[in-house]
Amino acid sequence: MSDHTLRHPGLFIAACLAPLLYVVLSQHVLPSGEARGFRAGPFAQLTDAELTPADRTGWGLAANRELKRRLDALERRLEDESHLKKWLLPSVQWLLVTAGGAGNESVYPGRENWLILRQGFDYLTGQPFLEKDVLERRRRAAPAWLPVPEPDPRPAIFDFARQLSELGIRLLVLPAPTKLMIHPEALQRPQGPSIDNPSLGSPSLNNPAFADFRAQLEAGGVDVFDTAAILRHARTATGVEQFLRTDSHWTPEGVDAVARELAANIRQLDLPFSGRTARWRRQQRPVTGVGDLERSLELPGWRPLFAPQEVTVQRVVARSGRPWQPELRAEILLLGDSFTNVYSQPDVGWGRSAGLAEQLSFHLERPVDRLAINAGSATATRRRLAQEMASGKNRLAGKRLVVWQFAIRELTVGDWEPVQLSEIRKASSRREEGEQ
Amino acid sequence: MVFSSHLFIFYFLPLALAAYYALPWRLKNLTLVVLSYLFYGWANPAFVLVMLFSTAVDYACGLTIAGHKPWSRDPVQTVETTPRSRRQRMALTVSMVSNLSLLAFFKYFNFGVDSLDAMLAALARWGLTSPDFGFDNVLRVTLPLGISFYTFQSMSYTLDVYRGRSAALRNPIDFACFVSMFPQLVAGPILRFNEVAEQLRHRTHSLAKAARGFAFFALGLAKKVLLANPCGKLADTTFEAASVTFIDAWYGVCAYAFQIYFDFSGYSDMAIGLGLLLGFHFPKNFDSPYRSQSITEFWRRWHMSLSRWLRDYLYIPLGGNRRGNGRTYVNLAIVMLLGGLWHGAAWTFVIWGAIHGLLLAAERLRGGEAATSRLPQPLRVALTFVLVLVSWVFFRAADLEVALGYLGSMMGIGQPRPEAALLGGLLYQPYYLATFVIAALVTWGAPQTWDVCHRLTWPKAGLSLILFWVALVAMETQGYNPFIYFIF
Repeated sequence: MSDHTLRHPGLFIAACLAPLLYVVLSQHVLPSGEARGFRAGPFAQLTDAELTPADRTGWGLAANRELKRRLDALERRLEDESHLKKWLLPSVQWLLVTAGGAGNESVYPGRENWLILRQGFDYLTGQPFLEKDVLERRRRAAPAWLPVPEPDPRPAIFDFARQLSELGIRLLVLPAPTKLMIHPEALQRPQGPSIDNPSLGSPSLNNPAFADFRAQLEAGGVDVFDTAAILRHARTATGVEQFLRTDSHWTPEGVDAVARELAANIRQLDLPFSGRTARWRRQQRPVTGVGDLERSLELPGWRPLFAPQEVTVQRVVARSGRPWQPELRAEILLLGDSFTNVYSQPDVGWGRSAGLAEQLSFHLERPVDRLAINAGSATATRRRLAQEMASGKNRLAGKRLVVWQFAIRELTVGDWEPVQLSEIRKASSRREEGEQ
Repeated sequence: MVFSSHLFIFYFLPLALAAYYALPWRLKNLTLVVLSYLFYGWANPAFVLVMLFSTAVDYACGLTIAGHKPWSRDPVQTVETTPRSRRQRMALTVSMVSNLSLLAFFKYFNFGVDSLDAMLAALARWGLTSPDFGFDNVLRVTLPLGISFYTFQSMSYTLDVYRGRSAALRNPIDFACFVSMFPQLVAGPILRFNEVAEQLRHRTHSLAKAARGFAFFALGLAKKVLLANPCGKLADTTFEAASVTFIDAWYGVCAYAFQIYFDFSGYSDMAIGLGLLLGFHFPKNFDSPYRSQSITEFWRRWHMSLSRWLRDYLYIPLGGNRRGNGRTYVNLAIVMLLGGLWHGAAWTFVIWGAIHGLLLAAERLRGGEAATSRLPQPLRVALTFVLVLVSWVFFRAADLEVALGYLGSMMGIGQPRPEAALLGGLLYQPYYLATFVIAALVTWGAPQTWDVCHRLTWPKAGLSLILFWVALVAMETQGYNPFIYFIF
């Protein structure tokens, strides 16, 4: 390697180094709206005086974990705040989607303007989520500075059911399906089997472990409400799409179908509900929205690829016209995630007062309590419940039934930490003693 | 920190080059050591201590073997032919035991515990032990990044000094520089001490050399980001699926073959380029391995620095091919099994090594020729590639069960689950198909990075520059950027 024929190699070196230096200088030294010094920005978090003495976790492995956590956080922030990335990403993503049919690490483009959430795709096509090796790999994949996650949903569900049962409350789990379970045509293989092939739309389109998971829950006394079958049936019977095209959630029609069947199912459980009822009426409202999946693609605003989708939601209101509200003293508590919040919480982007809890309340003609946290159905809702109980807000008082809605994909990505209901019970007892 | 990251390219690299070139010659190795420890510590600060320990032990052992006297300034080199003293043998033993112990503990402890648990579980099924008896939660050890690379390098130092092929280094900074040098620390090439001993004491820097260094780095980054990453996405999708169709299985394993080749050789190119930027010449690590016409040839072209290391420090000391055919086959089997285990602590890697060992032995049995030697050259290349693909299944699969299931799909055994039809919606998108085709064309049709950069002309430099910029854009905007050497 001694023979070089490149004349003026310095020019080539300068051309290689120029973009590297420009990125660093533009990020940290050159003024961009406000004066910047090189210490500004993410680097400050490593040397921040506020963080050094007080937050030290001591020497040894704990300190190492903390340092590693900060180094990784710094690296992520440098990447996320990169001007170059912010400037290039929309155009590159637009090119990838339009010419390449590729999305990003969260979203895959499908056919005819369908967008697919990657986690849903992975759940459906991936390894059986209950297999010992699969669970072990997920445990070991966690970053070293975080607690080891609990990938097996069964202990948390059985534990929750058992402890609710001790309080006289029944548990019904409601896994919300992923889009491809209902609409496999959204990602049909170009030269593959026809989407009209019945096998693609068969009820067996699920993770290989789900049937076993469901059987184990039911054998353990936990009711499982199969929303996928209802949505498939609704799709076949009505021809209406049960999922939004550019969003990861179900359509208002899908919510209504699930709520109607869920109400019927709850009635069949023959629980000792009080005679207290609540009548609601529904108002149709058109809502136009941009899907969360489309937003995740970070496409340029100047050239939208997907038209906003218009849906008609059924707002649930009281006779007086007051929008539906969850009731703390209701006998049914709905724990959920964004599948519960969509059409209910305006920040999700698809209107309000028309979500799963509202529709369930409407069909059941009973008040319903609701505790829903976006992307938090594996553990966060139960933890919030425990926290509220500990702070004296007894969400379980008078409850007969807890419906635990979670996105089915959480079975392959969620951290199913058991939450000790004993703390809830203690809090509940303390509160009851206080009231007496 | 990995080369194909925002942090390395936009922060670490410019600062490292600025510091390296700004400081005088006598501080350059020290600068490299500091930079390398910073680079290494970024992955896990605590593991800097492991590398420091390994370095200190081997430095001391090297001087002991060479009989270094602190008051003497004579070169400290043993004579190749003189018998070794007990003290020298002891120092070599300490070096070998300490390095292999580090490797055994950090890399193979979990594997050992898992294997023991699997054995106990099997015995429990036969009622021979209690089902509750096991070591599953005794301790989980985190693998230090690059430990397989730097322990091998470090061992090559004491072995070379012991054999009298290299002088021991008096300066601990020079030795620390050899062990920790960041360009090749986490993914090779594995340097043998005698390849860089002289360069540690004296090396030249020039604009021409630096230009070639940038060209190497640019092409290596392009291979990693533009080819290996999209192929890796295809491989991940198929290997992580519960069920794949016959076609998808072959497509996926081919994609994995491209991923590991372009990732590994791209990383080696970047390391060679960084070495040139710092004045070093590192050895070539890949020589178009998928153009091989036999498995024997494949191992002369794939991860050449590891093959050379295993040959010089394991195969030949075991007796090589000098002790008859039977012993040669045993030696080959040992080297390939250990080579497999070197790549990862799992039975799948052992099987991968065993397959290659068997194929090498079979070819040796035929006088070094593959069974396909009478076929036309393209067919020989194709059949060798197919054999390599089958072995890659074990290398890539998460466990033995997945590997066997995947091989079953490749042979068309069993009916794929209905969900398998969905994979095609991702796998055959134009972006992935185009990348796959380009990867194949580059694999079998394009000149090697080594040849492009050997005589760097402006057209080649311009092409490198364009690919570098495109790779930077892709790196900045694409989230999928796996680092596959964590298991090595």
